[in-house]
Amino acid sequence: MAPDANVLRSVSKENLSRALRLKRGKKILVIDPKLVPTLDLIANYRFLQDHGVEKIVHLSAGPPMPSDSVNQVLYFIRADIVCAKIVCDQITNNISRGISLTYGVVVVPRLLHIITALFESEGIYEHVSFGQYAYEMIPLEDNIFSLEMDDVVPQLWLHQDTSMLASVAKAIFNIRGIYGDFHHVVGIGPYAKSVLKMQTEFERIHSNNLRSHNRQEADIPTLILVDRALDFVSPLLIPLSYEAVLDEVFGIKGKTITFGADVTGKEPVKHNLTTDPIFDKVRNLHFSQVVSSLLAKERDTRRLQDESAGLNLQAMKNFVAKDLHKIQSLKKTLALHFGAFEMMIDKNKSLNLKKLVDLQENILDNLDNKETLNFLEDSMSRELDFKQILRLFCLCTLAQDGLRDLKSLTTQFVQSYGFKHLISLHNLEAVGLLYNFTGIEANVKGVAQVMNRVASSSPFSSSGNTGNVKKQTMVPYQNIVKKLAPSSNVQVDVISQNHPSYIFNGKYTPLVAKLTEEIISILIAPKMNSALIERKLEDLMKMYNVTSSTVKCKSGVEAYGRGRNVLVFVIGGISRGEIAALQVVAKNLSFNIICGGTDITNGTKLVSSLIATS
Amino acid sequence: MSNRLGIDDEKYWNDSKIKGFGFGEDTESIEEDNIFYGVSQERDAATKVGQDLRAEVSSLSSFVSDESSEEIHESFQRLRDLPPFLWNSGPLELELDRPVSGALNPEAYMHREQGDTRPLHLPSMDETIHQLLNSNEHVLLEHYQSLSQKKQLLTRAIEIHDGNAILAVTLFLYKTLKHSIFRQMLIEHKAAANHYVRYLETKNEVNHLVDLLNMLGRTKEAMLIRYKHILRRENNLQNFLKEMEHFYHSECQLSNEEVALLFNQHLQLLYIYKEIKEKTSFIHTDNSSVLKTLNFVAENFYENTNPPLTADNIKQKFNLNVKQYNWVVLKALVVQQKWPQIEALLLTKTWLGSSKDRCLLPLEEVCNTLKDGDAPIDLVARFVRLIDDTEKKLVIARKLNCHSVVIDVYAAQKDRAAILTYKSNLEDNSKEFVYAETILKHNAIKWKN
Repeated sequence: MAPDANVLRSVSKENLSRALRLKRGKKILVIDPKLVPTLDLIANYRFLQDHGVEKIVHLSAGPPMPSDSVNQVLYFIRADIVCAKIVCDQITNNISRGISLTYGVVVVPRLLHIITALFESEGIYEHVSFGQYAYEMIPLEDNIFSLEMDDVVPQLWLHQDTSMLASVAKAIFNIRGIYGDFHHVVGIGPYAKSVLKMQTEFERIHSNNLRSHNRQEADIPTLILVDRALDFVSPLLIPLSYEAVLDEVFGIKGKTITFGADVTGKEPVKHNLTTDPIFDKVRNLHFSQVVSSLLAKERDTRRLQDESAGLNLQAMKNFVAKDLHKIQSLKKTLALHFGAFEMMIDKNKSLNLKKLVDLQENILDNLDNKETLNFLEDSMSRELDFKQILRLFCLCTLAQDGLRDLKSLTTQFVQSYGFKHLISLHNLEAVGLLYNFTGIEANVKGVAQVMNRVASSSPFSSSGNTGNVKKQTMVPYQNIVKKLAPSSNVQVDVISQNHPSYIFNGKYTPLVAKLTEEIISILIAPKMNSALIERKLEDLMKMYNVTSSTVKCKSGVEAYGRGRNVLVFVIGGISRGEIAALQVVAKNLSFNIICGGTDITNGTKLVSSLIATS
Repeated sequence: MSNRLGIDDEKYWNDSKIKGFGFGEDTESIEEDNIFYGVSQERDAATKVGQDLRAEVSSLSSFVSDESSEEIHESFQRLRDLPPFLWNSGPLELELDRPVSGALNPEAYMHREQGDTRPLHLPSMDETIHQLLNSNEHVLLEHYQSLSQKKQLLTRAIEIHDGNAILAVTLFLYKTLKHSIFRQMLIEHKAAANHYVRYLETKNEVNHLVDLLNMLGRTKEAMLIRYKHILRRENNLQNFLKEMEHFYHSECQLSNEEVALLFNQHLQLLYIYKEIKEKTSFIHTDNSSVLKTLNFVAENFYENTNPPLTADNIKQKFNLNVKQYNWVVLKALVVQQKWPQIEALLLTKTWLGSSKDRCLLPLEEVCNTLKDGDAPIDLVARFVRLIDDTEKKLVIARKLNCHSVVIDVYAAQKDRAAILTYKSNLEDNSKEFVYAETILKHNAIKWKN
């Protein structure tokens, strides 16, 4: 049975009300615009009003002004020093103009030392009271949890700034507080390991708390934590589940998707997917199956409507009361989906879906590299969507052991899109998503290279080690890509979705889905004890070249019985393709897998988070 | 606290007070604290404030009174059973919960320091790190005065991987150590250096940051930081150019980083902007790439043959390849409807002088571009004909209404029936209609149907 996600919502809400009471009574709420969509998922406007919020102002709107009845201001900002500086400037400005207000600043998710230090150095510390607000994991659906943090990848892998890691750790610690202690914990990757280490610190801090509130039974017995950096290939590939394609083309935010006039034929529509009567049935379908499914739905709807034709008056009344609304809403929804579908296959010039999917499959198979190169060069010369170009650069890098012609391609890139993108390219390099081809070509030259390397890697030779330090930590990736292609005896069927790789036409299995499958298989194997499980899990990590991992298994926990719930959480964001793949794993093993991430990501978001902003 | 759950509430909070945030080793320090002047009064006051705060901040009554959140009411019982660490207690309250709160209140700390020079109770290193991990508002670091303690503190902060702790300690070290020692610690502790670099970057302290990066041997990053900073002046071309010149000559020229060559290209582009601005009105921020500039020149100076403002000069200067040049100039020519020039640009006779044309760009995209730009159909057809794959040629010709090409393809396939069908969709006596009839009457073709 799936755990009750409403508890998470309630805890987030209660803590929000506490944060709002940093300033008691009537107040103006000045909010960092980037927080609005997130708070929207937690509470509504009415809730804020009930907690004394008289007026909501965007941070960018300038210093807040007092009104007759309100002389308190409560700021809600992200833990971001630039936002904090804006707040400082507004308060300083008001003070110098003699405007009398009192101020509270709530920082989401945590009050960083540098933020209070900033207020101190700006000389306004005494005018402000501080608070912090960390919401819990937000259940976007019963089995999709998100922390809605969209800049984790640049923070952790570009800047090596770990200040938000503690917030992730606390959110997971709170999951444990709510749903009981995990029986098995697997942390895969260095940051996952850090987060688990922080769990131990929190345990020490809250040891008394835990002793009195320790729930022995666990609603979610297993936690699998994975670093995004172990598999950047999955988000870079375009997944072919219908939902993922919708997300790639239109962008799903929280629970809504915005269709422009090119889809609706009229004004743009903000479409709520949770109330969509057909979305649940089609979301995980392979893209090739969507049209026939939509058409079948359309036929059903029409039949339902036709049946009303011969009704007598009383039956007609019933029909109007009960079914008419339903039919109309179905028809409206279908019109949107058909419009969206058409847009995806035809009209969308910046993203020729079929072409991109062909290319990415060639890249994975290491085939037709000449064609890929031509496509990249032509697209850059035509100045097409640069994010798709970068995405393909990165995909080639990871799947082919480096990007061939890196120097020439990156030069063409900045000539097309501006030299400021030298910064973007550097960022991708720093994260390990872009480097020069270092693999071996399968030709005569390549064989000579192999011979050379063998010779130079003799124990007496010291060369070859210095220039490539960064690269060497990345080397295993290409091998992993090969391991993640489904084995040759598996017939991947995109219609019945029998294998998690169906989202990539059977070419690649998301690492997180593959590992989850293997981990669960170990946990449910008969005659296991905790020591044996730990050893098997450690072997598994070795098999996938995971150098940094933590495996913990409570002893004395009997075989996997009740509540076959697993939380899989990706630090750096989980993609919709991965969610679809994990659902296949869940179905195959009869488990309930909750997919979590610091946010719900995709290739475009990933690349965007790393490019230069001007 | 008078709500219908009052009694339970009180029991709850009394319990949790006992459990509190104990670290075990605190008991001794309480006694130590008791010796101090004013401590007990302060503690009483703190307890009072704490109680008030709890009544206000932590009372669970809000679930009952809050009408807008009825659904919460249902899970109320469930929430009450949850461990207290879930509840947002402001940093202040965290301290008040602690038995030694007096010593952690900085005001009290200062106050007492004036009256008494004896050592105070101070948090242990573990506590300090935990306070930072909890993002407490007031964390005292000033008592870590010996270098070995400072080092140990940094090591502990790095061990728990919390950026907040690492940066707070690093900034404390910066304030309390001389530069050479501080820098040495950054060299030894990469995590500290990374967090400090990021901090300087967000605070926009460019000079300090560039020095630091160079010291750490991260020269490419140093250059990019400087470059990024200069980019902010982009709007004012004169200043921008001056700063880029200075930057290039002082920091890039001698660098062996490949990126330096591209900084030079950017500088060259700025010189071209200057030239263009002298001749015509030109908004350089709208044309902020080599290809966009090439496009501008091709659109406005295509007939010009005097460098520097020729398309060819830009091609040479930036070493552009055929694809880059042809695509950009093609777009510019389509806009200007210069159709003959397009033929001259794209079609090269093969060098044996055969009559067959050759085009280096992907033909399908070229045809689409021409069609979208309303090129004469004969010109489009000429490019469609170059497509080798017959099937593909047919599909594109039909899509783009290149009727003559469609008819020719069918004729080559000796498919009379297909031509007849196709003809029936053409306008009577149009040019293509007549062409189809001519073909159908052709004697030399042996029709297959």
